[in-house]
Amino acid sequence: MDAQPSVIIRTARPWTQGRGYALLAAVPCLFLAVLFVWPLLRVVLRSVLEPRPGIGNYTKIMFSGPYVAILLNTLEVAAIVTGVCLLIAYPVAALTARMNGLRLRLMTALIVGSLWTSAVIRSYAWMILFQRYGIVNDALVALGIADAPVRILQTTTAVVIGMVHILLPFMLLPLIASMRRIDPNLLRAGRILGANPVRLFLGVYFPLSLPGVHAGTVLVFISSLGFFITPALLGGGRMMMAAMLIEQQANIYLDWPIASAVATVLLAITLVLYIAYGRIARVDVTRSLR
Amino acid sequence: MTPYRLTRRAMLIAGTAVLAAPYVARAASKSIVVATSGGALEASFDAAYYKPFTAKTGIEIVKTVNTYSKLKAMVEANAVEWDVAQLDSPAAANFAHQGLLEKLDYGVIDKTDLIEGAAQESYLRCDVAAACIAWNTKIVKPAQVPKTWAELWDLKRFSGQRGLWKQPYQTMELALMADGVPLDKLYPLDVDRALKSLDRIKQDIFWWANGAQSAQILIDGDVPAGMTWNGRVYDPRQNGAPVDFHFNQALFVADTFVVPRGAKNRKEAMEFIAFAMQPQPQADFSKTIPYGPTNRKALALLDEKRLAVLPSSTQNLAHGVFQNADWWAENGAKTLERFNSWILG
Repeated sequence: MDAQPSVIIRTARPWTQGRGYALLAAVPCLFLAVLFVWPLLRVVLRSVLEPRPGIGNYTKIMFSGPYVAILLNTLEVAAIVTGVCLLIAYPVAALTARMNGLRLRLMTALIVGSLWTSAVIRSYAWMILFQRYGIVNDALVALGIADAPVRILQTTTAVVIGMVHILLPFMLLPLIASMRRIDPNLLRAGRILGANPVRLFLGVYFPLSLPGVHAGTVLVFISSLGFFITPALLGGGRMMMAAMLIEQQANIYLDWPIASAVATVLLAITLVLYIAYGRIARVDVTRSLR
Repeated sequence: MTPYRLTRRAMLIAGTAVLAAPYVARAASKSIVVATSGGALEASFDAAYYKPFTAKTGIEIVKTVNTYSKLKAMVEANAVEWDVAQLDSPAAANFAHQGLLEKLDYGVIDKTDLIEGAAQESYLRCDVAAACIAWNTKIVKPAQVPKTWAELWDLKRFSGQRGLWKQPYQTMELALMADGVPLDKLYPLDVDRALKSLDRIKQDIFWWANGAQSAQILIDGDVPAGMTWNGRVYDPRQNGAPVDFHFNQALFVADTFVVPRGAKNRKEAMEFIAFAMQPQPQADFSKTIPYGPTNRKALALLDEKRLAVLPSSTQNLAHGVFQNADWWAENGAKTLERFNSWILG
């Protein structure tokens, strides 16, 4: 890899593989610049230019109205969903990572296949399962776990279940990928050196799976921050996530300056968390490999 | 070199011509773009307005979806694709407030027979729906049926959650009626009082997100009673679902026709609205969907049985109150903040 730039300098050839790649990359970069970066910049600009130039929208978000509470609600739900996803996905991924051939392909197909149904349809499906006289409540009553139908809809639990269901593949896939890269010889070595299973897991397996944990949690957490339809359909009172608010303001009340400011704050929080988490995770991984 | 370049340029011109051909052809037969919320409403528009209008004028109607934020973006970018849009009335008032709509040409559109308040400077109410009290007939016994919002708020009357829209829109009005505010004294809305009224049932509200859900939770018995729009439960009731509704203390809401500022076919847009607002198309519209006409003469073309289910018929209109779109255009964003703070408080 390092040899390539020096080749360019020494021979000054007009066409190299590296330049070819750069050109190929230019097209998607331009695409992103025009259709993603520029509109995003306009959102940020609108938040400081309208209704009048200044940081009025941001002081409003910080010091008045429901905005801080909504952002905290968003972060809380995202954190719970990420935690539950990790707990469920980790053992499934560890098991899947040990499979081979047909079983592995079948398992991957099952995980990826669940992505083919849209989040809207799956949220509606949960609505039907969770309703007062729905299949879940019927089962609870028939099994004697509950005396009468319980309230599942309109609770944070319902929202978390719905979101975990949708986001689980994004935790599973990076975990499996990273666990399959773990060299079995390292585990064998640990066992030979006398580690019991708990120590083997905590000292060898888990640290080596951290890149997957890192990628999975970041993916799930950031996706959770933008969730809109699932909390809207399954959540009740006290459930108001940032994306629901932005949708209301942008689409119904046409208050674009404040919607832009909320979107910008959400973006900033995401970036800060992403960078901070990246640092922490990198330290963890390097320490574990030392 | 030169002949080669010429050939390439000629190729480019030929290519452009081929690509542009459909647009040139389309320009020959005139068309206008009408944006609606789709679904049953658009189907009724199509049967009552689009097809007869095309038959009469030769102008084709291109259908599209009326995403509100898109309308704002198109007008701001001065690249307006729509000629006519259907918006709910507070949104129309809000767009008018922000200067995003053309003034309607009442030289072309005849407003003499329209109900009071229907014809505004830059929007025109074209149908009337009702936010009304509805209940599950298997759960709520006839003697328990809430006749007023106050009775719906009464938790001793029957147990179970009350279905309400998770928006301050309309919900504020219902809460004030439930607290005893007379229909003619609703506006300007007393938001504090409305939230206090909601406080009384806060733990027993099922917050729904959209119209389809509002009807579904009633029919499935997730809530014994709640608010929904008459158009959402009328068909299920006719088809035997255990749900019923009435117009007492109904909050009448309207759809409107608007022309976005900078619409490319302004003249044809006005002609279309003028055509749709005539008595016969208006009556035909209300035959296929339970939303009332705003042209009084259209009511005369409908039979008693149909009038009984339409919000804007004389007998039903007397029981409710019209939503004040101007109040919402001015106070909507502020009220949303108050409502969201209350939701999370």
